[in-house]
This record gives sequence, C-alpha cells and structure tokens, in this order.
Amino acid sequence: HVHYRMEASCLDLALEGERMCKMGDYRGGVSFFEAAMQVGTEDLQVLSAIYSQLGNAYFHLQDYSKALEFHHHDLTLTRTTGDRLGEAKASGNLGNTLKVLGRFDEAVVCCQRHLDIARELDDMVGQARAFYNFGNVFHAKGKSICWSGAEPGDFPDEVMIALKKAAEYYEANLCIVKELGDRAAQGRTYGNLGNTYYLLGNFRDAMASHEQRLLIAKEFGDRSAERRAYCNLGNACIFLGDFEKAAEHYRKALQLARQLKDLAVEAQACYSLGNTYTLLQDYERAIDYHLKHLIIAQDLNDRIGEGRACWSLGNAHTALGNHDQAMHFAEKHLELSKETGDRTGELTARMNVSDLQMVLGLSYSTNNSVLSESKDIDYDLHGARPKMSRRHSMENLELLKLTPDKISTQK
Amino acid sequence: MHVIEVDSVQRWTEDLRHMTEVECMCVLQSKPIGVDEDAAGELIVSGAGAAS
Repeated sequence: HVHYRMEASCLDLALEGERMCKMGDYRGGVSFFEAAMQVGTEDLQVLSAIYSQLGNAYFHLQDYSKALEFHHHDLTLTRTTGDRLGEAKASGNLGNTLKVLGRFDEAVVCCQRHLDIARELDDMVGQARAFYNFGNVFHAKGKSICWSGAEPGDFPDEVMIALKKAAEYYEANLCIVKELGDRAAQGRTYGNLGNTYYLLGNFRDAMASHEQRLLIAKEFGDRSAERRAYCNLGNACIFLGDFEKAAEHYRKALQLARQLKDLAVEAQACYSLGNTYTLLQDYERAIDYHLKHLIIAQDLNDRIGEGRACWSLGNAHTALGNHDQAMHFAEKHLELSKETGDRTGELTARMNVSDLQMVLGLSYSTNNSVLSESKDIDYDLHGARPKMSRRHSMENLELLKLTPDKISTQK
Repeated sequence: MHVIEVDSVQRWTEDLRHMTEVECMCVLQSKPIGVDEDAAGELIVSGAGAAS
C-alpha cells in the first residue's frame, strides 16, 4: 500500500517536472525530476523518461556535463532493458550533447548507433533524424577547426572533408524528409545544407538550397528564417560577383530585421549593404547604410562595430573626395581601434589619417594627439601597408567556441 | 595617395567567407511521461546562437 503511494508520488513529481519544462521553466523542472528520482520507481520506462528529460533540461540550461551524465544513464538503462527505440533516442541525444562539447568522434559513434537502430526498426523518421544529427556533427566539426585562410582553397583539408561529409548526410536526410513530406524538417536541412555548400565554396548550390529554404520559410510565415535565407543568399551573391542581386537580398533582409525589431541583425544588414554599394561604386548609398550601421552600433554600445563603421565611412568619403569628412571618421576609427585593442585597425587608421593630412595639407602639429609616435607600433614596414592579418572579431571567435546553435522558431 | 577604399571591404569579404546564418542545429528527442502526450518527440533547442 505504501509502495503504491510512493509510486504515484514519483510519477506525480515527474509529471510536474515535465509540465514545468514544457512551460520553459527548466530549473523548476530539474528540481522536480531530481525529487522524483529520490523517491524512485520500479517502472523502468518512467525512469528512462526521467533521465532523458533531465538530460534535455540540463541541455537547455547549457549544463552539458550534467546533460551528458543523464543521457548516458538513459543509454545504459535502455540497453539493459533491451528498449531499442529508447536506445536510439538516447544515442541521438547523447550525440547532440557530445557534439556541443566538441567531442566529435564520440558523437559520430552515437549517431551511427542511432542510425543502425532506426534501420533495424525500419523507422524512417528515426533515420532522417540520425542523418540530420550526423550532418550537424560534421558541420560543427568543420567549423570548429581553426582555419586561417579566407579563400575556399585555404581551408585545411580536414575542414573540407568534414564539410563534404556534412553535405552528404544532409542530402541523405533531405531524401527522407521529402519522402515523408515534412516541410519544417526540409526547411532546416536546406538551410544547413546551403551553409555547408557555402563554406565549401560551392556558391551556386548554396544559392539553390537557400532559395528552397526561403520558399519554406514563406510557407510557414517564419520571418526569422526568411531573413536568414535572404542574408545567406546575399552572401553567396557577393562571391558569385553578382553585387546587384546581393544588394536586393540584403535589402529584404534589412526590411525583415526591422519588422522583427532585431537591432543587431539590422546593423549587420546595413553594414553588408554599405559594403555591397561600395563594391558597386555607389558611394553615396554606401555612406547612407554605413551611417545607419554606425548609429545602431552606438546604440548597442558595440565599439568594434562602431570602429568598422568609421573605417568604412572614412574610405567612402575618401572615394568621393570629401577629405574633411574622411578625416573626421579616420580619427574616430583610430580612437576606437586603440580603445578596442585592434592593432591592425590602429595601424590602418594612422596611415589613413596621415594620407589625409597630406591631402589636406595640414601640418603635423595641427593634430599632434593623433599622430603622436607610439613606441609599441611596429614601424618596420618602411611605409608599406601592413599585411592584413585576420582580425579575431566576435564572429570569428564564434567559430572557435561551440555553443548550441540558434533557436529555430519554426515549428 | 593609397587606394584605401577597398581595405574595409576586403576585410568584410574575408569575414563574410566564414559567415553563415545558421538554422537550429540541435534537435533533441523527448520521451514523454504523460500518456496524453502528442508524442511529437522533437525538441528544438534554444541557446546561444553560433552565428558564424
């Protein structure tokens, strides 16, 4: 009798934990699941579900070592009980967790087990999921390897191999989700596949994938996904040399960013447009967009972005022969580069200022604060421009750390 | 006078070569306890964006 009450209480606690996680309260959910485990249960299906949901809750809370622990418990349990479907799910979840932790080889083993069981059970949905997880692991692996070159040919072989594998797995996933008519899953896969092709330097296929992604985003009325697709399409157009088309895509991305009231992505779109119009040699428009970018960067207190905006504005004004304006922005660029510790930027800004001073015929004494000799700058350049080394901007650092990827609002 | 107006664009394109707007890349599977669940079984995970 007592035993029955205990059972009910474990289940009740677990159900409350589940309800709280559904509401997005993962902390609360975790505490109820922990309490449910304290009470204990003899129903191993329930225990497996508790482990699995705890693992997922910890994943959401970004406590990946805890997530790993519980998904591992779930895997052990499902293997013990011979629950094949449960083992497949546990393997998938464990694989995702290992991927985020950067343990790619182990993640691949989990994906393979997930796939093997799905095949054994003739579970097409499971196979599609396993392929998708596989693709994500290889995509993340490719991105995690620090590369130094900017040209496709400069990516290390290891990166290219991982990305090619990612593309193959996404393609395999796509075959199944098309068969299943799962449009939401197709949208996600097209987006990831497009990004993989893009990183591989295969810009035409990237565009084709992102166009499909765009279609599906529109079907679902998913404006975030639509904005992402336009942005990715714009980027691919730049490398295909179609700057007009790129501007068109970026303008649509900007429009959506404004509708979504996302200032950071609005700034990014303005910056892309400013650069694209520079490539089109339409400097007035470039200035207009770089100014928009500058204002948002200031609003967001993004000093690095502000520095880049000033650099771009200085260059655009120089191109138009507005040397006074150019000087204003070059000085601002110098100030900001110093502040953010951007050595390359500082050096570039110093040279721009001195170039402009020559043009404007100013004496060095006019602005000695700007051109005061800085001992720690390497002047071993004999007046040559510094070779642009890769700046470790925020985005590039993002490539090096493995965080879970952006939420998809698409249901 | 140096041709400086390409510098900042060049830097942008270098960065752009690595920039992708990513989809959600973590789809976890759920094991519902409640029997009245519509066992959709997919959990889209939120988290810090890896805008690369």
